[in-house]
Amino acid sequence: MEAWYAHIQGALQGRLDAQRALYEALAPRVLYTCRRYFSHEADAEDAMIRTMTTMFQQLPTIREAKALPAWLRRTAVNECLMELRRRKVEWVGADGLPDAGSSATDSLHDREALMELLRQLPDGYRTVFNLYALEGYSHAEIAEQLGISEATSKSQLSRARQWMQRRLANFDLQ
Amino acid sequence: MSPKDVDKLFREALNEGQANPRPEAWARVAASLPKAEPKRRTLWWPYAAAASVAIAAVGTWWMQAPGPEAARSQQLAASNPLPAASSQQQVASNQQPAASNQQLVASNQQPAARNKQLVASSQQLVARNELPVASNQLLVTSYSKDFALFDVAFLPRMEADALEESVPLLKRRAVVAVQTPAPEVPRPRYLQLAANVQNVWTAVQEYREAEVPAEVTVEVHLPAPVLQRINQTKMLASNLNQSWSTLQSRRSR
Repeated sequence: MEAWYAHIQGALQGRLDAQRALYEALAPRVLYTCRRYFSHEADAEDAMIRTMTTMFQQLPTIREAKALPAWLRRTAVNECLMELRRRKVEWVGADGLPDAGSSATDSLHDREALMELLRQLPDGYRTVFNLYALEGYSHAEIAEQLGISEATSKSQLSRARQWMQRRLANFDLQ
Repeated sequence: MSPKDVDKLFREALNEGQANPRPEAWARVAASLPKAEPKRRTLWWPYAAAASVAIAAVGTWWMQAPGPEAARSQQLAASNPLPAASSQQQVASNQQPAASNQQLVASNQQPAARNKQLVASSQQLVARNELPVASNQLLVTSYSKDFALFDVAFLPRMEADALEESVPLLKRRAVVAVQTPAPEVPRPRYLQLAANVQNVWTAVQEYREAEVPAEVTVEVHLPAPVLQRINQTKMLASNLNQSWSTLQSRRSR
């Protein structure tokens, strides 16, 4: 039982202190998920805020506290996808990839460095890579979520991997 | 590094983690939070007021509506303005239990002054009920300024058994429950009250037959509205007696 379970009842009663405690316990996880989908911090923060707002609105319908983290992650991903769809992500080809040899000075095992590497990808590549590699979606599900064909999903994932491989190879050389 | 290794590397590194949001972010979340509903205070006074009005309405109706007992008393009074002993008993059974808290304290005092006239405010009633010439004196006193002097002749019927019990014990105070009319006596019940007055004399006569001491102090505590009503009834009874006497005298002529 996690410590933030105790604040759910107070948040349901509308107590601001309990709502803030719940926010401070769960918002970092949500923001971390959102950062994987956006290259700019402000976009990730906007998605996090929308997710947390939705959580407080939907809190009475959530039956078990232990299901809340998974629900939050799912909701955060959906918020990010909605924003990306609204922006009409440009599904770039291989020519649009950034230079794999630029920036990145940290070690491979630095999680923040990997996060930065991921956020350097174009929106389309990054979104498909996130959904496939980290969220476990199939290409069919990705195609349905993003409104693209499965072939586009596969090609975007393939190109994202190739770029990552080259970038990681540069890391290895350092 | 194979493509699957790339997936695994990122999955293991980035699947779970935390990133602290800026402090300003909370303000934006708080601005859209559902506000706590103010506690609804249960308003009890409308229910209490409604209950009071209902009780008052029912009580007023009960007090003013002439029941079957009052109707029967009116019939008795109309057909026989000078009630006989049998009708007095019927009227006695009609006494209201509402005023059962009133108490009559009858205390026996020194049997000094015998052969005194009974103090009664209604001479008509005294004459009609044929008081003995050598009678005991009944003094009515009030020890509290909150309660007015009350004429024993206008008390409702006293229980004869209780009076008889108090006779041998001259130095002991006997508390006898007296049923008095309700504070709000509607006009149709005046006749019934007058009949009750007749019934009092029966009790007084029984009191004498038991040869009680000469002086008996009767202390009656009654609220002012009751006394007012009784005084009104006293006047009404006096008028009835006058009318009856006039009628009898004309018949005799």
